[in-house]
Amino acid sequence: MEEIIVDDTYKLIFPKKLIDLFKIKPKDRFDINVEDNKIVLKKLKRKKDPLVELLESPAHADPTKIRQLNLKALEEELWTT
Amino acid sequence: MRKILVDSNIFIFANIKEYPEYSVAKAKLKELINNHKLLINAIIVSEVQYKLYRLLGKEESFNRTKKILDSKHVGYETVEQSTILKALVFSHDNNIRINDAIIAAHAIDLKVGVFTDNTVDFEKIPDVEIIPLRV
Repeated sequence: MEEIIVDDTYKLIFPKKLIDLFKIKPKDRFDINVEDNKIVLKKLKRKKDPLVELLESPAHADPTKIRQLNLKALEEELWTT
Repeated sequence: MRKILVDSNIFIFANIKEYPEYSVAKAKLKELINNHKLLINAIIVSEVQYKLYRLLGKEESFNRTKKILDSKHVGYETVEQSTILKALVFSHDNNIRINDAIIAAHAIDLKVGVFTDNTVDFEKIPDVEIIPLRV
């Protein structure tokens, strides 16, 4: 067991052993709970950036609709009608 | 970190798998976010929202446009009046639509390039650095 000390701003520094073991990185998020008088931290999965998420899960459109609604025509429709 | 203004069509291609340009637009955006902030403005957001609305419907358009705005890789830039005045001249002198003229003037004022598939219109405006989708 390793002892850690709360600093003046109530922050705790993870011991190196735990950082390596749980692959902890700055900005990682934890779920914090009290169980049987113990503080339990659970590392949460990193959230994907919304743009990356969007690029990895494209929408599907009917190819016929894509041909009919060409992007130049949609721009024309948006700005000139 | 470098910055680049991204035209609406790039986001549309990268959002819909059936576009022949989907893979190249997606790959290029993924590459750019490693060392660039992707800039957008009100014109680009309006075009992305409207085109997605017409192609995918209201909900999908809302969700996808919001994700673009929420991304840490994307920065929203406001368009100043001086930029609009410059765009008005570009539109008048080069016979291009005001929306493209605003994007071009904004890129010049922000001192960044425009990542676009619409090279034909942007080439009419001097001093715009064009980063084409197709090379």
